[in-house]
Amino acid sequence: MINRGRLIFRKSGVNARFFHPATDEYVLPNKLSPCTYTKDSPQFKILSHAIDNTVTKFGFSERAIIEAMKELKIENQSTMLSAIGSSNSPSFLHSSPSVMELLKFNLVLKRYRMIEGLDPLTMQQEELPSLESLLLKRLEMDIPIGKHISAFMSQLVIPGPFLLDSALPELHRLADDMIYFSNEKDHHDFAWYSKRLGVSSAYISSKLFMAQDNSCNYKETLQFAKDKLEKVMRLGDYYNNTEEYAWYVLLNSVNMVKSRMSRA
Amino acid sequence: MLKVASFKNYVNFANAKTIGRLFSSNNALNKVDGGKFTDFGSKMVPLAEKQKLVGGVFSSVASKYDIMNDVMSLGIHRCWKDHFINKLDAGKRPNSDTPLSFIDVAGGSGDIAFGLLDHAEEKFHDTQSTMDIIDINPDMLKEGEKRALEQNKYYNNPRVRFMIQNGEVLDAIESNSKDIYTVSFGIRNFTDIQAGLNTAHRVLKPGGIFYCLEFSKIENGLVDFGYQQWAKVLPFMGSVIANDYDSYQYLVESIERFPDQETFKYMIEKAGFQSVGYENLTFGTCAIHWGIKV
Repeated sequence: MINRGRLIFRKSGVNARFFHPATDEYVLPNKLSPCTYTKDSPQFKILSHAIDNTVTKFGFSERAIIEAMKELKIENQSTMLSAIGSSNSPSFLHSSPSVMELLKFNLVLKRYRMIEGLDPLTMQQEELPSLESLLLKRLEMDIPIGKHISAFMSQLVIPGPFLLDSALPELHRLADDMIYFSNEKDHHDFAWYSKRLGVSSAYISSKLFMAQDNSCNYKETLQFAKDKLEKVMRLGDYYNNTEEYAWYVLLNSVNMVKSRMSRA
Repeated sequence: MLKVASFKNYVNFANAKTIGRLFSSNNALNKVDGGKFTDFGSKMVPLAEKQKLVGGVFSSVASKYDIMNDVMSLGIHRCWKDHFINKLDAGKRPNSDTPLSFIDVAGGSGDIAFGLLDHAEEKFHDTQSTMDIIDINPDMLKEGEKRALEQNKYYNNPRVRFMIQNGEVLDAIESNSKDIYTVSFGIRNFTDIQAGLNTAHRVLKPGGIFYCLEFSKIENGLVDFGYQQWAKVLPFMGSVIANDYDSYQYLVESIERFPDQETFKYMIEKAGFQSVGYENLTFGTCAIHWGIKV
């Protein structure tokens, strides 16, 4: 009887999924993608503790991770280093896979912290922060590790799989999140790419500026970031105006040709 | 030398390959018919017999183990093993307190075990961590001991123990006693792979790490085609180089029967490991799987 009922449902095109929803669709994500471990995992606890406490002192090194483990009273420190680095491929130019994970985790964790409490689907446009404030918020997050920024950036740009698989995609995700979670107007044409590229370049040049900045609380870096973003956005306006003018000229030309041909 | 004819006396399903594949991808156990039979390459054999038959294969190839691996992988296995050791990056750090306790299962030849110890010493100056080299096959262990003697480094060394043990049981290894469990090109020969994974979880300490290097499913169609052609030639190469057709035939078939990356990942999770992942090497010809015991 039940089977017959199911058959009728199938034939009538009604999917049984309506009555048996997949429970995992309603589970809140417990991972900071692309990291593979959950927020309650030892890896997450160690790395977040390292970013907040030990990296400021020891920089991006195995020492910072080990000190974080000691502070958290985690034994098997050497094993845990292998566990932390497991998702990275070893590279001749990098010190160790666990340090690569620390670099990646710093990028991912701070990106998620930047957008904490923001939801464009439920919030009004005017409630969302501006693109500039998100950029500055992200840069301010790196102030405690300011003296290690130079070493951090130089490790990120080492040519190899880590650059292609982790560093560059993470930069793209950051620029994407800055635009998506701010009140900035988004586009659905080629400007979608150029805007993200512009924001990425503003962020990277600000970070490079920050690596050499000696001003109090990196005030000059923040000013530099504001100016840079403004220039990028102005460039975007120039691009839009040029694009609009090009379309105008093209359509005008087509109409002119049409009218000439109809006269002939 | 193994005789194929002797296997034919066992139950020989007409399309055993297809049936076995269905079962092996369906769950962790590669058993059929209520657990009475299991696959041995593409053949179905009684469950109790597989261990002996696999033992026969490895006894047969033990003395030519290096040549066998070089032939099967065109020498790339050395790069894979190097990558495996560097990726694991294990060893007692200078500013860490306790040395590590390794276990290398199905590692009779000792190449991974010695490689791990060498890496720990060269990179971290770790000369305290210990290693248990486990193999069910005494001939393979003898091969490893022979190598240790030749290297004059790990033979009669209190840090290294050679133990004849079934990887599915490891009855001489205490629970929660090991920091790092490695198995390289060995787990596909287990009669019950899931039992082997459960045992790995049992012997590891909380925070311990499971690392496995094994042949896998090639994801690139072109490379897969090339490999399939190569696999047809391999048994003939085996008969020419090592005068052993059947063992090489078994090794090729056992690679084909091993679960794909995602299925094996699920099996590792099922054993209780967390943060499970894998990395494909050479388009998935082999893969490194890992999991953490929390």
